[in-house]
Amino acid sequence: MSSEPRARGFVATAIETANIVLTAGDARIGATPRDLIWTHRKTTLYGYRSADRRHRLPVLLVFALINRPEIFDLRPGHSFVEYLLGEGFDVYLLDWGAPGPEDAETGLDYYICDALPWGMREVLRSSGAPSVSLLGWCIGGTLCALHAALEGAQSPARNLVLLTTPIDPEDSLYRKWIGRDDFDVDYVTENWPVIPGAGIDIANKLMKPVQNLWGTYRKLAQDVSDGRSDRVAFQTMQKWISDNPPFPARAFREWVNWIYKERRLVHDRVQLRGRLADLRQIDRSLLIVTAGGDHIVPRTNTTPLLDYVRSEDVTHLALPGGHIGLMAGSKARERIWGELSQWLSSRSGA
Amino acid sequence: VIGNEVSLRKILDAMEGEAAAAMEQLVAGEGFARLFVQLTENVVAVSRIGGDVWDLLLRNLRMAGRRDIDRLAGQLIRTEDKLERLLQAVERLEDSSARA
Repeated sequence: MSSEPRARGFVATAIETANIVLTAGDARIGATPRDLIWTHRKTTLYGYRSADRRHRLPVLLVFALINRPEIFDLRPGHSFVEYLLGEGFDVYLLDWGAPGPEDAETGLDYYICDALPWGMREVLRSSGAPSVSLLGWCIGGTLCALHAALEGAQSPARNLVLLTTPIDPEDSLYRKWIGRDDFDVDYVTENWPVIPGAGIDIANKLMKPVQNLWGTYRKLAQDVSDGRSDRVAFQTMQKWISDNPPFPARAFREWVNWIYKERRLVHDRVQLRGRLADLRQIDRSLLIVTAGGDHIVPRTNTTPLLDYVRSEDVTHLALPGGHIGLMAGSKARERIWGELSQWLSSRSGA
Repeated sequence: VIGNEVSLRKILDAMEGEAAAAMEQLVAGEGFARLFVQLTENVVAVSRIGGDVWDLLLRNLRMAGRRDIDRLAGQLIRTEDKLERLLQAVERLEDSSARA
């Protein structure tokens, strides 16, 4: 065989791969139609109405502070929000927005004591429901758990779903990096009013450097060469991954000190505005989901919660998959969305 | 040719797998963690020096610097907090008067 067609094939693959990567920023994510319900500071509450509402309790989605919540609504045909709407749930999404230097003094107490309960209050007012199902993912899960630990029976959340949530990251790689004594979080936060999202993104990628910085693109090129690349799937995920909002300095300092350095959650030492957040106060119906291949929040970082809560209705779903792939990967629909919907629907009646 | 390509891909996959395992071992080590900490502090220090220089320059030109804008934005945040609490109190009153 002449080398000319092969060389042309290589050039065409390189150009198409580069095109997919370079135009990823134009991909559309978060496309499901929604209403703006409430805003406060940088926080926005969005509402998605189901055309076929069958459940009384709406679902409030709460994501982490270090990525955008559009991962819940990645693209049409592959959107958890769209799926829940189809299952008859009204869905609300709390978007933390992009904090600026003026938010340097925003601490975790703002998210747990103000934004989250106020957001829930608006959900109840908007939906007319008596309570809500709270679904938190990653740091969003920790915020929801701390809210439930603080409010106990007073919380308007009837059901609590925590996905890959850091509770006690004793053996995590993050703890090795930022939980060590010589990582001076005070120095970082005194000089940076907000921690740049790009910095956190680099740290995340360094946890699996070959896969993240090389493997993703090599696999894309291979798929392009084989004629089986999915442009939309790659671009939407790439766009979401590259969009990292800044982390307010005070919240970052508290997050690092409380969770990674001092492991306060499991030592009963998280005080918010003078009140103790006691995990033993969590008495809601609780679903904990962990992912076997999660290198950011390994399963052992979440399961200690099971030793503390006093909920009588507790389910632990131990699934395969990674931190993000679990909910947003190509197998998410079959692997987890159905399970979540089933669990929620049996607890969302009158 | 196709056979060669398949073999090449297998070799590349194996190499990538080994490199990935080696790199993951590297980043999980004590030496990398120390390097990570020092590198972070260096980046913070350099960006602070750069920020201070720019701020000084703008202030000497009698223009608002980052700190002035942040102070103003901070005041707006406090005002918004007060308004939100006021709004919630009014809504609670409205609800209770509607029930009565």
